[in-house]
Amino acid sequence: MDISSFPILSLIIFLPLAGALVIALIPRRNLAAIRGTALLFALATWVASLWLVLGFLPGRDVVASAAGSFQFVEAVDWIPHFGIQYKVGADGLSVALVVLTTTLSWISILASFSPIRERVKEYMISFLILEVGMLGVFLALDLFLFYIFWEVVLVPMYLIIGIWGGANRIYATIKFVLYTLVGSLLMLVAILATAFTFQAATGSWVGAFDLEKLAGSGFDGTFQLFAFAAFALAFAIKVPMFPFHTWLPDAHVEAPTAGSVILAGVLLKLGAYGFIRFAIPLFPHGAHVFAPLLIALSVIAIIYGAIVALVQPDLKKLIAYSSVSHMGFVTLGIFIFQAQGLQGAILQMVNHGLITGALFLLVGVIYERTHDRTLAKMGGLGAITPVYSAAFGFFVFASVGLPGLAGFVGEFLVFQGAFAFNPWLGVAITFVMIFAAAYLLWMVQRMCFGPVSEFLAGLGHHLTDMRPVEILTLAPLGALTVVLGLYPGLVLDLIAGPVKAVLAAVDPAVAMSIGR
Amino acid sequence: MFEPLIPSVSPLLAAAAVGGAAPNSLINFVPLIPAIPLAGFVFTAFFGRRMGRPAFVLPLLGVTVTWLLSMAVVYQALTGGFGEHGAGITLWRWISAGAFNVDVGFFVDQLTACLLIVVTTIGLLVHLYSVGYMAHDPGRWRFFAYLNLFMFSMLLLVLADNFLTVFAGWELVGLSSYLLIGFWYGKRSAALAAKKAFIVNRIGDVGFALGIMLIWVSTGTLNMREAFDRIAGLDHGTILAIALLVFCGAVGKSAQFPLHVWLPDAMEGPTPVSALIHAATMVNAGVYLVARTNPIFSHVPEAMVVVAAIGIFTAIMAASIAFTQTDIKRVLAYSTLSQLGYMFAALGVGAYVAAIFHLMAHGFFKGLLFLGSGSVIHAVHDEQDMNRMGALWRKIPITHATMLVGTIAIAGIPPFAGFFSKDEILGEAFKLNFGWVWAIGVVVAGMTAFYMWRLMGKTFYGKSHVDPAVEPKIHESTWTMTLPLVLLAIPSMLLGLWLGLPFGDSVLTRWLHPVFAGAEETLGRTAEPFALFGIDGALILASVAIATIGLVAGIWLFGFFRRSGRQETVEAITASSGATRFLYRASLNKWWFDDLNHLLFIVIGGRVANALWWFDRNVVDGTVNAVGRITVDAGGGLRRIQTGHVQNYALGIAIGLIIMAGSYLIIAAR
Repeated sequence: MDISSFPILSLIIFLPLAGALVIALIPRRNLAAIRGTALLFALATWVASLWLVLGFLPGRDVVASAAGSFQFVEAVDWIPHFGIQYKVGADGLSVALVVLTTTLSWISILASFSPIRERVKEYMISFLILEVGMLGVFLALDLFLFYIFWEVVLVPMYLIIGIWGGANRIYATIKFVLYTLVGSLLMLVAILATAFTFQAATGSWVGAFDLEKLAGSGFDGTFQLFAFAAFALAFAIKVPMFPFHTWLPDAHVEAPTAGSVILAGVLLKLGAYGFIRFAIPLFPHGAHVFAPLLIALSVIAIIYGAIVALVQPDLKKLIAYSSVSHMGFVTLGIFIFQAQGLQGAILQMVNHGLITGALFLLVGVIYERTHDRTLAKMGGLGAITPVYSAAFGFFVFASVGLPGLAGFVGEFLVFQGAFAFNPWLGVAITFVMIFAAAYLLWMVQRMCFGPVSEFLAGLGHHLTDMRPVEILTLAPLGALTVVLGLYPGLVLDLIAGPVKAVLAAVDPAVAMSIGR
Repeated sequence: MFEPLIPSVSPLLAAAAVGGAAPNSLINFVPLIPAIPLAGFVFTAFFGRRMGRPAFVLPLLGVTVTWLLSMAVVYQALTGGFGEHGAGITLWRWISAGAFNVDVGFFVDQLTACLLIVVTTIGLLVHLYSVGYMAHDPGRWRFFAYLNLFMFSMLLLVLADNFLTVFAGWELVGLSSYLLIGFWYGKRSAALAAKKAFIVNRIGDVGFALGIMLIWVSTGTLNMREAFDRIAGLDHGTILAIALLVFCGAVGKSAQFPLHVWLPDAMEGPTPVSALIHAATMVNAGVYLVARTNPIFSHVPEAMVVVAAIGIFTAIMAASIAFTQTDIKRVLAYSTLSQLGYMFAALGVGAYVAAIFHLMAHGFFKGLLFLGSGSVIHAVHDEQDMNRMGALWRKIPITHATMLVGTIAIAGIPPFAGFFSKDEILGEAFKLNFGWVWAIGVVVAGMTAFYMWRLMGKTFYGKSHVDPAVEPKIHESTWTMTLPLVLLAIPSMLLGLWLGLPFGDSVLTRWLHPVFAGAEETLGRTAEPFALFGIDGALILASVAIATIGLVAGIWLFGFFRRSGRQETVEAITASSGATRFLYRASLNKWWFDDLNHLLFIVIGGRVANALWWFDRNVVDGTVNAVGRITVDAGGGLRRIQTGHVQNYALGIAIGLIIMAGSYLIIAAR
């Protein structure tokens, strides 16, 4: 069947919703059916997304316009009075992140089978709706639609942390929601202001929320500053950039395993995606003006996150701070407006999703057995759980940035881009290679090396090695980590077009007249 | 459909004969050299545990095939089969991001061939030795998997034709080293040593990585031969920066001052690892890198002076520490640092061939000495303290005889290998007007002979200090362990006679001439005829004399066969004055480098990190929480927000709607 005559994107977005509806009809006692249905729909979405990749590839080299070259665009009027449409479309950046999302989603659902035993029905429904929101964000081309999906993500995540989370889950989830809400409300104001400005300039609502029409249309410089600032705040909180990062360690510590996987793997990418897809193409002048500030904050995040990670007593907090540092590379790569840097940043988004997702899965495996994450209590896992230790070591070295595994290429491209942008900037961030090795290897040493700790020895036979299903959740991530390490072209090739488009958009020669 | 996505994946078909070489089909098989050990690693890592005891067979077999293949390639390369400037093969495009393109490709020339000889030969012998050495270890399958991983990484490093691929091999040898140092993971000291090795190496790697970035920014390529062609067009400051940054990497990997601290601790690993990785091959990577990038260094003589200075300083500092260490492997570790220092000194003065010569000779005799020490440690039941050995020469005769060969070789006594290579370094240094390098080098030669005899005397001669419970059980190791010793003793004796003659125009010089000719031309070197009855003969006499003095002093103080050492004399000399007492303590405490690092990085660094974390909780997060609290307190109705009910989200949406409506009114009113 010809994929282009088929609403493939809508199918991908709403398949999980269909799953949620089916689950709603299943009696709550029938756990096996609920779990099976959730997994089935997540897998179906995954397959559909792989189909999307196959259909997408032949047309990907279409010369990029300022807003990118989208395929499979579906546009239906939604609120015609304001020109609001249901409009979705995919370019290479979307496709890469959609596949990341669908992959991590089914893995997370599978990984939730055993740890989640209360309110399974609500949990699976929340999770599938979460997936709808994430996929929608990556595919929406209408600003209003984008905002709706952006907020849709928030509700199930709020529930997942708040209901199935740890002891201090209420504090963490409220902090997460309020923090994100503050940013997204400002973004909403900016979206509305953009539409009104556009309408005022053109005299028509047509296209007032349409990304493809708005991007490159050249808003007034001052307006761009305010609008960009509002968008940037929303996205910076989501990434999270320093100094808006403190919700992340709390949310990670309290979230259930699958929540942490999705949080680190996909949710953090929403912010970076927002910068690349919306904030920069819509308001390039604003992006230029704010770039030095955002670069500075990124560099602080990279170094500061790594140093603070060095002294974390809690496994999840350590990985959370390492995420702050790693996502700093992403935002840095974006705002130096340099080809290698931006390609590296996007590749780093995918890699970080795979690697950190896997690390949180591994934390979940040990937490399920010990109900503890305190590093000081661990030790000697190498002797008790060799398979677990090998997997842990593998993903830690991927995170360290070992060549041959996924983490290296993205990171090196960002280094290279930063170095080309300004050698001293390159020097400053490359030193993080040392810190990253220090905190990650310290973590491995505390976990796997040394004599078996009293705490772990006390658990006796409860401390079993990985079960087949746990290996099954990690195996695809491990395979992708190797494949993308040896052949990063799979992603780099997809995103070459969008990267060119973004860099063309920030060309300072673009006129700024609308709304003057 | 994936056709356009994978533009240049055509392994073995895309043989690109580069450098004007006549097409030689053997180059197509070069990718197999690293690929076979990689396959061995992957297979053994996944299935080794289930295979149990025979798990070593496949890795051993793989390394044997790799060795055979390498020897064929070496023969071709050294007899001109790949042309004067070598040949290459490109496999696939690894990274392509805009103008940044990196291919995975291999390249073989005479320098690569020399490294291949050392890496695959010693690699093979260490694999064989490990069959016996690790026979009773339940994790033997893991050990062989890691060894094969190391072989892959090291071969990738020496074969790669591209700076980033070299860097990949560079990091992967670091990983293998980490895994093998920490092989006995239950030992806390092993875990700490493994971590230390990786992190200290990373400090150097930062420099190397920055050097690679600067190479790309300034030349637009990371392919080594293309970059070398373009390097002459750069300004002096840039070349200097590239050279020094690349040297940073070499300092880390080859454990030169001030990044030498990881190597002695790395002795926590099983002894075959110390022989293969931490003496004979991996630590040579830095020497190889500087030799390989000689077209860069030759443009910046001041960078070469830095290389020479760091090298010769490390040589004498490490030798001074080796004087007082009592752990047999640590003595050898400091000796390795010292000998690597010689190699860098040679590179720094521009004696490239001498550096590679010493690299090869040292690989064989130090590999031999380490494997010998492993045999000793095995014999005395895992005792490494030389004060608890002695009089072992009669009980483990093969180990003793081969280690004696190694000791004479490293001491620089003709006609063993170390004499030729060390003499060439010292002679070249003197003739190239680096008098200070020569002077220090000669002193180090004497020190080397002395501390090596100290090791021999304490271990093999005089009276036995072995634990009486162990004494009757001492026996020679199995043939899989002694055979490698004998096979390493042969090149330790004869390599110099083969490669080092005739003086002035040796076999090795002729081999490597195409690799270094360009650099020697840039440096303005002209070959002088060798004067056996002139300056060269005098220099040979001087270095042999000082080595002999060192040996004789060693024999006098530490014994020979039945003759015991004079421990009281040693102690009397040590205690004779304030200066000697200070030197003794400095040597024993390794010039306090570990203490300094502990203070800087653990104590002070830890305080900084903890202070930042405090800042994060109390200032950054404190501000967030304070804002939240003020908001909540201000709106009394909003207090319910802390009850945690789902309805609160509805409240949030309500606020949002109010703001939306408000903003709509504001904007519409304009």
